[in-house]
Amino acid sequence: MRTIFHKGFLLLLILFLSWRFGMAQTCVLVVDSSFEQASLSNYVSYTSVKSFQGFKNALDSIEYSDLSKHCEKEMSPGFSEEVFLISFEIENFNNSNYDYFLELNNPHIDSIVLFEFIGSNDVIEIGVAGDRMLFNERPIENRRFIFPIALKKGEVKKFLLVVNKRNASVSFPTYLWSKEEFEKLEKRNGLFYLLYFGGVIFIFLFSMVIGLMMRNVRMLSYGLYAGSMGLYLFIALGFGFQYLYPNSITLNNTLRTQILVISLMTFVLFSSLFMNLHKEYKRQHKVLMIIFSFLVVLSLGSFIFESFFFQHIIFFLNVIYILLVLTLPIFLYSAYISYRKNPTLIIAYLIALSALFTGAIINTLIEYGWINEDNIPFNTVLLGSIVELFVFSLTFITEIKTINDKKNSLLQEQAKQQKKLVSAYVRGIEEEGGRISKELHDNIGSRLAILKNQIDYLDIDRKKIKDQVVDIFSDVRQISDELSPSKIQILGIVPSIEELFSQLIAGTDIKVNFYADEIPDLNNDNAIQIYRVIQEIIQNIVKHSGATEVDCQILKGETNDEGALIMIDDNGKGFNTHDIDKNMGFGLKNMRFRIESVGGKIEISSNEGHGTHIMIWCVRG
Amino acid sequence: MNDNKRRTVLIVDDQNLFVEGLSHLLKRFDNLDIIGTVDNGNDVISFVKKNSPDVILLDLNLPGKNGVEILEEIRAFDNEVIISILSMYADYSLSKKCKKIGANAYLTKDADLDELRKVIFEIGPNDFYHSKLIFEQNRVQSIKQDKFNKFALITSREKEIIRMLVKGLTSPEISEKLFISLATVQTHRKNIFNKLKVKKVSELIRLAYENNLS
Repeated sequence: MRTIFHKGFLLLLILFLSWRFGMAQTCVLVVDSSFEQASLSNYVSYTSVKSFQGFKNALDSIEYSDLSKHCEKEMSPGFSEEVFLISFEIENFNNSNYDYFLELNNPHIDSIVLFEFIGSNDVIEIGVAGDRMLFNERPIENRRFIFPIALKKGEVKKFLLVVNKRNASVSFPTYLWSKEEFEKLEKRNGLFYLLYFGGVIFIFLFSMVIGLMMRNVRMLSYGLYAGSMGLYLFIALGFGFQYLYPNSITLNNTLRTQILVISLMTFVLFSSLFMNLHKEYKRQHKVLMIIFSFLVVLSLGSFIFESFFFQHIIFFLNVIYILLVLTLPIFLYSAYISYRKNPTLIIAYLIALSALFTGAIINTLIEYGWINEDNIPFNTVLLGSIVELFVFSLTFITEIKTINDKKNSLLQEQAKQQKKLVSAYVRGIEEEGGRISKELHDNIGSRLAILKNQIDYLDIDRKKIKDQVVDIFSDVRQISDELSPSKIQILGIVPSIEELFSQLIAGTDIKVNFYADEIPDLNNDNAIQIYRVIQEIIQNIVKHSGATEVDCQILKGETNDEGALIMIDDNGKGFNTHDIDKNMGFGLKNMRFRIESVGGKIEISSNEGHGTHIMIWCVRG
Repeated sequence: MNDNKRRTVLIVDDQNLFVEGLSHLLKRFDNLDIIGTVDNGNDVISFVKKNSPDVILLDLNLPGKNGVEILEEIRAFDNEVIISILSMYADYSLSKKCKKIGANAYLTKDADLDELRKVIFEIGPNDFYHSKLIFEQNRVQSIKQDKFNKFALITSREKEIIRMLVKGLTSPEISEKLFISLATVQTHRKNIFNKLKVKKVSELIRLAYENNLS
């Protein structure tokens, strides 16, 4: 079994290799009627020169005969300062004349000259292009470099392509296209790029608007990041020179790097905010913000001291790459430590990040010539960016939806709670009304009836009757007091509270230490609610706490609106605060509701055996 | 009943039946003239200015201005007229407050004839008399700011927090220990510093040691 598998594998390998070499050994590219597109890398011979003093000198320094010796050598130059001289031969096997496009799929090459061989040792220039020329001076107006080539029926032509790609630029996969096919490709690509950049603009605007509306810095930073990244890709793909600044060679040379710095800068900011490091892991956030500020300085510097920046561009590029290498472990570490708190967020971040970085790494490998670009027909950075934007946008949409859902359910919960309280309140009023009616009817009423009957007798005991009237009088007063604390308005809130204490602790052994600042008058509604709550607090202390001493202090608020801070501490048996949070008694809930309804705040803390401590912040209203 | 001075009385109350009963009762005094009854808080001042009664029996709960406001306004221009509050409320604090702003008496509405006579005929402009009031016992202890003992104002809760601060606990630690929010600890801290007039924890520690608080 195994040997058969091995043999089969070997056979396939041999077939594959012979196919590849077979292709490579055909030095002349023969095109017939079925021709659509071909990579030139299998048909060229090339050499390179180190010091470049202009094309003529370059041409003088090589032997043309050398060029034809290396037609099996694949062209993967990578970073280099060298000037490449590439020769290739095309034969038109068609029955008619034919138009071709020679494409160098790299939007940023300093200069390119296409020569045609006349005889074996001489050339004539047939086309010039490059970043040192204005956009509309190119032979064909396209973001890449395109040369039209025309071949007559049966004609064989040999060409020499001289590429000065400078140090900063990278690989230049070269293809020959039939004109028709090339135009089809451009249409397809155009639609794709339209969708991509349209999407980026949409994401940018959407995030900025939503971010501003919701005052969400994370959304804002995402918008900035997506926008700057999109702009960078737009420029890197050559669209910037084509559409934004076709008349500025300088901008074409500088803007790409400047926007790259800005993209990195927004990326650092966005990553930190996206993972919520600014809230949860302040130290990591601080480190990232230092790097961020450094990038801000760098990017500002690249605009202000442009010539200096671009004179030392290699140095600055290295600085940027080092920063990137430094930030990556911080991102990963932060993702690792915050994974537990928010796994979905971190997974989304890692997927998005790895998509982009995989794209960027493959792209770099291609640029260094370690991967043959012919094997990967699309822009990997762009693809990574699409995945990234998709994942991030999805995360944000889910997040907004979750927030919205939470808000809705919270509102529903609140409405429910409110309803409960209102119905309890109404029930309370009914019960109170019933109690008072019963009191008036059964107690006061029947006592008055007895009194009336007693007056009918001649031998009335005036003293006894007077005592009974005094009793009834005091009962009526008490009922009236309970019904409405109308004296707050006359007395003011502080003496009313003092009086309340005195009333409610009457007949007990509780000692009350009372202190009050001069406080500004409270709005009447606020005062009544606070009075009621304190009434309930004192009743609880008297009935349940077993306290022997109570401290009550009313302090003036810090600002005029703040009104007062009321502190009531008892030394009673207290209770477990955790229990009230879980299952807060209706009385406590009602107190909170009352205080909050007039814009105040109440905090109740207690420990079993250590008394209860209550603080009420009230506003003037 | 006879008293040597003749007195003019104004009754301010919005309960007509009560005013009628009271008038009836007061007719027992020979040298007393009820020169008017007013049932609205807003009409009292003009009446007093016009008729200058010797005694005003003033209710607190009135439509328009309430009794306390009226009292303050009258005292702004007249320190001689005897003003007695006559109220359903039997609160000690109310009586105290009325005394402070210039009432000469605080009677509850169940005051007997003897008390009324005393107020109308006997007390002078600098006296203060009040009916037997409820809740006079076991009053709250009103604490006054004490120049010599700054700790008089510190509550037991605040003492607890001072002890923790002296021990070197930070606000978050105190918040955790006492199960209260950080904001509450900071409020306490600020209040303690204000009350003791210190600015730093070190001063607080010194003060706490001096007062044997730690």
